[in-house]
Amino acid sequence: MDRDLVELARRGDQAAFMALVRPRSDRLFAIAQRILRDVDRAEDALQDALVIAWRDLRGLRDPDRFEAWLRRLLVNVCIRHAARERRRAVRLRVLPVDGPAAPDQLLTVADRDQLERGFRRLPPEQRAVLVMHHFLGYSPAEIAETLAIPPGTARSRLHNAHRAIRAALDADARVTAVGGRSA
Amino acid sequence: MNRQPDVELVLRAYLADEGDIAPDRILEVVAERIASQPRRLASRLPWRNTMNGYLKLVAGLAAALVVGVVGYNLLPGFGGSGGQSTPIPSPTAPPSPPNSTSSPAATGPIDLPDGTLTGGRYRIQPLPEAPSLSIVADVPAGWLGHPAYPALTGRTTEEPPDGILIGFMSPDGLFSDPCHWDLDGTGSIDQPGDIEVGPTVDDLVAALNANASYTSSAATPVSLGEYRGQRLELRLPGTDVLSTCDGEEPAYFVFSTGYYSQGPNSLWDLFIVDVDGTRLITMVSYFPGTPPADVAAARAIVESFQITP
Repeated sequence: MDRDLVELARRGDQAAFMALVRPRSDRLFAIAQRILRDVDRAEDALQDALVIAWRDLRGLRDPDRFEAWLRRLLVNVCIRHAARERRRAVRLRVLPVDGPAAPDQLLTVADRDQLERGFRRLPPEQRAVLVMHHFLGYSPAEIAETLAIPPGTARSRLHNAHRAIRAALDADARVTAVGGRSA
Repeated sequence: MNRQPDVELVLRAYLADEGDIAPDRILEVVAERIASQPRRLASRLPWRNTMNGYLKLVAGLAAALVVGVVGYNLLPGFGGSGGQSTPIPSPTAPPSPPNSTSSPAATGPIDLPDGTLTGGRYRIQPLPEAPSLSIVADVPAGWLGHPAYPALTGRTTEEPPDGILIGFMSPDGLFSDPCHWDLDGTGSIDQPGDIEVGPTVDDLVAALNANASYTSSAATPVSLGEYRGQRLELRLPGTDVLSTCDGEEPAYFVFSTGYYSQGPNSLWDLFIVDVDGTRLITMVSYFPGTPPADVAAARAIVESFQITP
């Protein structure tokens, strides 16, 4: 079914393209939100990624790889948006850190607050691999395939992302211990 | 450093699915935009696969012509600069790619950018857990910067059979069996190791030398900038061992934190120095097939380090 829609979309059928992306949009939006930590930027990134997907769809050789190809496109767009975000250092409308509790109630509001700050300190590439691993459940090999990087590089990125978030959390804990919780 | 062994569990909860719903306006805007969006032709296959025999012949002849002209001009007495001390551009130095980052040569050190470097002095923050620690290094053109790791790689990246990488670590622990590092059976790559190492450079060197899982050289004194330490080389195992190691992609972890073997028969040239209480390992990882010139270039980069604690 999807394969047929991909073939139609490749030939210029916009309705087929929209039929392909509509059922995937919530999941894609969730990915963008988690990497960018900002609702507005997540919307922009998803729009850009879908427009690029439409433009470049003829380059997709295997229609069965549409989903992975689209996610890869989105992750790369998010990384670019996040890099711009870091350069501009604008004030962002952030996701509510005291929003819905995690399903297993593992995290307190304070934990989420601390994680949010730590996560935002990470380079975009590291945020992306953490989202792919912990949200999408990708193995390092799947991350490598998605980002078109060697498996060893994916493992390094994931390992360093863990190391960096732990360091960021440690740093945050020290700041909190010395000067109280920062805003 | 305070370890938080549940960081993966916490991240999973933090990033968990919360029933996110994409606002309808996203697809509405996309529909409007693609209605006027031109389509791109199918992307080309990688150059390596599409280059036909004729093009190869033309390229080969062109290369031979360039070599011939350059060689002629370098011969003494033939109008070239041969025999003189005029610097000659390295024949292996690639032209600056169009997406190269700006050169820091004239502006002093700049923060290590992502991508191909134009050469010059770059500032690197080697350890996320020690954000004030920085290194300024002289890096030749053509190397690649990876500030997210952070690391530098040669033109062939870090992969076997001929790659090379300069990376940084500050581990407190080692694995007694680097091949079977998944001690808690979770597959998590953030495990503390089963050998706790003392705080000094010598403690770490002794622990590395004591492990018979890989070959280690005798350590020799080394200085990076004004900081002293030890240098030693590890020879890690080949495919016969690596293929049996833990991990979905079998990996060989010497250290509890940092890099694992980059491929079969990895050679690690380790420069371990104490930077005011922080034990910094600079690793040059390469392979038997890595061009000697790249290894020499990597060592020259490390020797150029100026470290600020």
